[in-house]
Amino acid sequence: MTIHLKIWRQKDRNTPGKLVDYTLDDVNPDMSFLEMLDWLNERLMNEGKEPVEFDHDCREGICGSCNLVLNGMAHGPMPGTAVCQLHMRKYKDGDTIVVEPWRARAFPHIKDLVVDRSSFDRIMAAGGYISINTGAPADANAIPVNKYDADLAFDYAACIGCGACVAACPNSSASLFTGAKIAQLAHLPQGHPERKKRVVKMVDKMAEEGFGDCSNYAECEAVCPAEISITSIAEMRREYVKALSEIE
Amino acid sequence: MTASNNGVLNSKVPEGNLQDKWDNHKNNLRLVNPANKRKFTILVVGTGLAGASAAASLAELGYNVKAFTILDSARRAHSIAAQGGINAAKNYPNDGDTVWRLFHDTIKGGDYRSREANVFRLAQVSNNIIDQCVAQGVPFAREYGGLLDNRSFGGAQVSRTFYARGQTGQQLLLGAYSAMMRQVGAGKIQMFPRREMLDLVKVDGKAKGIVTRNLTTGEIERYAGDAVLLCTGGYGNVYYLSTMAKNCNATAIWRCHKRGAQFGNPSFTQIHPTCIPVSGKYQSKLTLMSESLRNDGRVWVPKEKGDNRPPNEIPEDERDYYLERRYPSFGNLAPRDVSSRSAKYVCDEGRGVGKTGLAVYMDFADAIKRLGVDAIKAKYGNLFAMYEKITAENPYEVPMRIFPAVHFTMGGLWVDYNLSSTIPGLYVLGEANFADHGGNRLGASALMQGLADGYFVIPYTLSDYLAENLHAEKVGIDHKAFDEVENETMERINNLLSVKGKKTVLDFHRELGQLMWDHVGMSRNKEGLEMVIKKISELREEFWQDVNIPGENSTLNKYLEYGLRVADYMELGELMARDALDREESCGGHFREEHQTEDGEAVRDDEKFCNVSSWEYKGEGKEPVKHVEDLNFEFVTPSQRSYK
Amino acid sequence: MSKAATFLNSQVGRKLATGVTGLGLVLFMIVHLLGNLAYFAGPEALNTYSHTLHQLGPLLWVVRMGLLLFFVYHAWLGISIWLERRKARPDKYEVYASRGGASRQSWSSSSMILTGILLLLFVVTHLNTFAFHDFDKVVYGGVEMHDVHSRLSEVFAQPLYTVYYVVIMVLLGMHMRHGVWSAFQSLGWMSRKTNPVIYGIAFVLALIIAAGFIGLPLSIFFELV
Repeated sequence: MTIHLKIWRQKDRNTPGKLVDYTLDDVNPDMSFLEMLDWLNERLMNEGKEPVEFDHDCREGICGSCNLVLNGMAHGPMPGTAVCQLHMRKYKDGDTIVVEPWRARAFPHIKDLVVDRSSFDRIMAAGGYISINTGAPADANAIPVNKYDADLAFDYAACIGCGACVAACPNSSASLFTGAKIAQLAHLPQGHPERKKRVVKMVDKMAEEGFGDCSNYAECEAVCPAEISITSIAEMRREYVKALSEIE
Repeated sequence: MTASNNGVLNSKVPEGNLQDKWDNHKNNLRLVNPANKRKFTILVVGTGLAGASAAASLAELGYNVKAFTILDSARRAHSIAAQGGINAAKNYPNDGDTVWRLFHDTIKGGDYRSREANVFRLAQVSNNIIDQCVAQGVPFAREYGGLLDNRSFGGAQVSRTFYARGQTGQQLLLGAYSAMMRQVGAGKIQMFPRREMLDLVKVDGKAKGIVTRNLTTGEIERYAGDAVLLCTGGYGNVYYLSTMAKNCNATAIWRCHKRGAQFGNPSFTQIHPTCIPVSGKYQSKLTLMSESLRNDGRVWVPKEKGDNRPPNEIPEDERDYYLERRYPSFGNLAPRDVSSRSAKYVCDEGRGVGKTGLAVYMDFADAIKRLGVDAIKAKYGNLFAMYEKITAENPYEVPMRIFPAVHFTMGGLWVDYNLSSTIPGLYVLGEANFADHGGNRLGASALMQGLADGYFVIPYTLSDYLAENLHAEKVGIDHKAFDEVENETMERINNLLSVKGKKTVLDFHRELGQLMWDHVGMSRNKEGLEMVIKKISELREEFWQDVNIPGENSTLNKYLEYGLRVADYMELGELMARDALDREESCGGHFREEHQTEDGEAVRDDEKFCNVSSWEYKGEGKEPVKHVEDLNFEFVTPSQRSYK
Repeated sequence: MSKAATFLNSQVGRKLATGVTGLGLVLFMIVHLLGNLAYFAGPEALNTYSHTLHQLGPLLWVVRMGLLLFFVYHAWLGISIWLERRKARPDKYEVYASRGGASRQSWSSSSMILTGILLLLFVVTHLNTFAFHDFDKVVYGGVEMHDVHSRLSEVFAQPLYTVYYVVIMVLLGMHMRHGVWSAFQSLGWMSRKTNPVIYGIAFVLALIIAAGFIGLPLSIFFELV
């Protein structure tokens, strides 16, 4: 099949970028979207041109590396799917696809479709953990966790940290990412001793990193490859209110 | 052929009863007092389970840690993709599991090619790992009573596998990552994302630093440290197609090998039987379907060659359920190496299915009939959905097509009981070392090994080395050893960029992968291996004359990164073939066609090969030298594996 | 900064305050709407109701000031979040689209800033038209009071004003359609189960309030009462 691509090319942060047109006339419907980009890159290299840079790693939808906005949608049109798991058979012969990187102040641009998402790591470093040293904690079964909470904690823990929530949010808010970690640890007894400190630090860090406010558009949930619910954001807010005593 | 001096490697396995070795050893290891820990800098390369857990644990102890990852975040390391679970001898289900049994299953599964003491220690600390992870907030599956749930996994008769839906690796890694980020917040770990280690710096024979390429700017950077921990994972991407992530590579271990670290059992590769088959030339990687599917899926191919009918039109008596036929007692649950090889045989006979003929069916029709669609959906729903996403076929109605794929490398840099390589100060953890899995790895034990090494072994054994080097002179990055290594690295990059040939890196990698898969894959023979050694060296020559690396060094340039990696794969691939050629026996994932029974089962040679082949690099154009570490089985008796 | 200020300046605090003030304004509108309904009961009922409210004296002023505060704070928060959003994405997408599904992006949620600003302007004119108007006087049972009823009848006899008012009330409905649901989410009163229920309730509530406010002027204009 033939696919027309308009891909964002930008050499570096200081050089203005633009959409560049490419046409591939031998796309196989069984290719994944990223394999199609590999295909394009091979062709570009054979023509002596510079290939398109994009982040990718596991190609199984779990590492969270890939980050493409296709026709205005983070990770493309399929719900619950990272772009590496999107296959070309979802498109029709002759379709045009605009490919852009995540765009947000907190995700500075690096090259072409690659951006810097280290702000997420810094939010995690602010409090996305349980303070326990390696050593001899209590037996794993010493603290029972009711199945409801354990399952809910897992739902939130499934976040792959890709940043689609930020990319799709009209406000560039990181609330879904941050809320998911806070909600996960709030549902586990192990997370309780630090829950107040955690929510305050992470929420503050999120703003400090330059992410926008959340206006409850819920676009984040719609594009999340791990299908994390915005309930996590509601939980984050509850936790924050409960943590009033910790606020300085 | 290869020279072999049968030099003896000192594995430093402590004396005493198997049960007491690790404790005795800990009693004797030297310690570093807290005030002195602050004076040491440890470089941790790679942030998967092994790297993240080691970095966090060492930082908690007070060492200064610098952690490096080629990805944009530590959380993306490929440990994240492990689906099934992690073993531990907790015996929560009361089904008679013990540390001994876990040890025994693992060493038997490895076909008696691993070191007893290491495997026993692994089984011993397995329980601490679960405790540690639960304390970190890893959401393992639980029962209604609130306690942890276990399931059974390939190669074991007890339920000892802890799991977090189909995403155990992800959850364990996020646990270790969060412990690491806590230390980043505390200022004890400095993170260096998008850095690729390109070489090791040695001073007076000891590892004292690394040289990395900043993948964003292309700058070559120097980092000095008192010890270097390699936690860089496996090298399955030598085969081009594998279940490894695209950025997994062998450069760090290979560069260290060239600096003097010996390489243990390089040919030991695990080929996993249940992956989604290749669909075309554009295929960039393979996706694993969890082994748990084999509990209910029946594997078959048509009895007749070239039977192109759709699977549902092939009547029952014209199907060959070959695993059930050949291995009646284990059937579809035969170990990974055995099932993979069987799939290869039926496809070689021309009975493979699908467009390429390189696939077999895994059929759930019986299970659906027996248990109902809902039960199957509850058990495997997410896997079925993933399969459908990739292949556009509905496995509830049409049998899945599966084929083996490279999944794990048991080989790796040789390490002693302390996880030290043959270069003092260079430690190797997790899949990057050769230690614990012998000739074949059991399911749910890779995660166990990575975390055991990082959380519970290296913090003890490293202190012994550091205590010894307490008064050693500190090496700074202005040391001339750094100049030399940096110059060599720059030269390699410039050479590669200046070739400006006609073929892409992908072309070369695909060619190499095909050679490796055909001749150093599931089934190997002398003729093929000798041929492939020659072919690879020709390919390597061609590579340096005709590869086309686009762009420049000074920006993000993934094809440059890739080119440097493929250059190293070519050298490693050759060593893998040499090792496979040298090992005149069949064991675990290493199957030599010359060494099989009449009905095609592997024949081990414990007389000659009850040992580890450890290869020493001797310089460009020179043949590597094999050293041998004899494996002494004091506590278990190697037996022939039989799954009939 | 004091604890409260830090809290209110946080991203959670800002949304929480938006939600609280928003719900406060919704409450006010419900009361206002119920008051409007008195029109249907005839001039005496409406004018007496209005008169009773004015007799509240200082309490009325407390309520008025409170309302003003809520209104201004709500508007300020909305505008500042909108300004922040522009900073948070300096480079715009060439193409942007909603994925649908779980997304709550809609005409309503995407136009909050626009409908909000129009409502702000409307309130100024609305107060001018009714609150600060020099009403005619009527006397019931010896008590002199403002003839609110005749003012309403007079204003909504004008086609242009009636259209303007109806349009604004449609915008109010749109604003509330996202606003009410969003307030619950902002206050953390949301679970996976209640999410669609509250989203539905918000729609019904917005519809009722907008329809209620539109009902009166149309009834007057078409001389149904």
